[in-house]
Amino acid sequence: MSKQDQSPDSCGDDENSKSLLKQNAPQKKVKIETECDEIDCIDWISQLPDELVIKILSLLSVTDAFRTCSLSKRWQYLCNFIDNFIYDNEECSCSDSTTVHKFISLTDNVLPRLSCSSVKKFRLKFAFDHDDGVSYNPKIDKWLEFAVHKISEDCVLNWISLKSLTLGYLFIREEHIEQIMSNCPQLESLKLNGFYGFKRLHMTSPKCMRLDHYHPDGHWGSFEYDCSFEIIAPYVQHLRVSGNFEDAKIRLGNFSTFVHASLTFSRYEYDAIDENIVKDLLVTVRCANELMLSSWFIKEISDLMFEEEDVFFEFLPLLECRRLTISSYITQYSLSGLDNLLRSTPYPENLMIFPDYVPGRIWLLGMWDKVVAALEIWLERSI
Amino acid sequence: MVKLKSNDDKEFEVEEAAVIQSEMIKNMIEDGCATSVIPLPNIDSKTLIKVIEYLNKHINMGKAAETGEEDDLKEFDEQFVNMGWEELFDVIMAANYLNIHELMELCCQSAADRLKNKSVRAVREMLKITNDLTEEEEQEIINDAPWAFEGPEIDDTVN
Repeated sequence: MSKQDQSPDSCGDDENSKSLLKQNAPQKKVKIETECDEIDCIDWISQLPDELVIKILSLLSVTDAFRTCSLSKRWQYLCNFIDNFIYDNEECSCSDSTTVHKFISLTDNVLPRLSCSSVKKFRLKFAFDHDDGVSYNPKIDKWLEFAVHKISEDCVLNWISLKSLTLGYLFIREEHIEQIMSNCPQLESLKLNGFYGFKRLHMTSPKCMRLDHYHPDGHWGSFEYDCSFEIIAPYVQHLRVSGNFEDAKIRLGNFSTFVHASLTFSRYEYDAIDENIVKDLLVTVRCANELMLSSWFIKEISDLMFEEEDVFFEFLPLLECRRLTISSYITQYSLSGLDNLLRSTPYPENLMIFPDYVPGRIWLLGMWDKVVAALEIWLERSI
Repeated sequence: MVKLKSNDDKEFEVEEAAVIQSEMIKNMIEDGCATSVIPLPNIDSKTLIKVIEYLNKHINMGKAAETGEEDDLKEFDEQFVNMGWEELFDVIMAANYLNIHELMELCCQSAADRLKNKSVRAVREMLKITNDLTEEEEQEIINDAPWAFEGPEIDDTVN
């Protein structure tokens, strides 16, 4: 027994409360005899039942919680039952190798020990450097698998009745997104707000009618080198795809029930234009009642027409929409794309054209009379 | 008014609006079991006074938000948990028994904040924990999870 374990002055001087503690405490008191036989000391925290100690430990970071294992025999296994997982190394510098090893060791040693039946809170904030030469993905995967397993195992009922799901800024593997999709039979609305890790989204539940997919700008969510993303959602009625997809090729497969489709994403085109991408996208949304398209479509159509001057009209499918919204900058060049798109839209009851400002481009303003002229021709034709 | 009796036979009168923050007493009142004095065999008068002080201050949580008294309440909470470990554990036990969710969260968070980044030695000293592990057992635990025992953030002071 070491000196610091005994502190005679800290024994409750309130005799009354001390005796009450002894009478009413649910657990046996640990009495520590001091070397000089002064007064018995009470191990204060031993009056707390295990579940309350675990509750307090759950509020600590994983590292702090696991340090308590070596306090005494009673504490040795308490931290295995914590139900919050908080790990945050953002304050540490990325290239610090001890931080890296700490995280790896934490993953390898802690996960197998945890025996809580459900996870209440899970937060893994881990700043790392790509240049470290260490592959973190398998470690991060382990944590995600753990979280998904614990959550889905214990909240099966919740997932079964889950109607709306929003996932933001996540790395999700193909098998995990599949698992989520098959675990949520009642899902009606899915919102994806930035992700990477999977390239196929199959929403095959008949209930799932709304998909909102936003891909943020910047380094986050890169599609790496295989640049394609496929959405198959045969029952979706409301689809919105927006954001910046860089050079990823978006394919929409097997949509037949569209009511509303909003494709306002942007892309960079590094390679030669693939006629089929635009065409395929328009074919999938051709039955939509309401359609919203971005500059990218207008530009692509214009590019195609510029390449092959004879291509006129034929390569675009007939669009059945009643409400057409085009959010695009209009230049002399893109006017032909707009014109062509309008020609393949014979039935609109409501048409809106929003100038979408892009720096360095000529704005709609000077082009207005030409747009009007194109519209007039188109109106005459459709009447 | 509801009458509460501590285990050292002291009676306290508390407004019903305040006391129903305790799920346990709320249920008793709803079931009609709170007509006379409610005995609380697990709580001594010293702890009960603290709990009642909290309940009275938090009587109208919703109102505080409306009248901009949130900061006031926050300051009260900070002051409230400014107590020794022994007293803190007594309040946690009482809050757990009476099922007062907010008080429970407040006190557990305070306990966790005090333990944050503390070294094993410091925690043992603060909580008066006797180390009944042998040196070998202790070393084995440290070897299992060395990452938990290393780092510049670990604080060896006791306060």
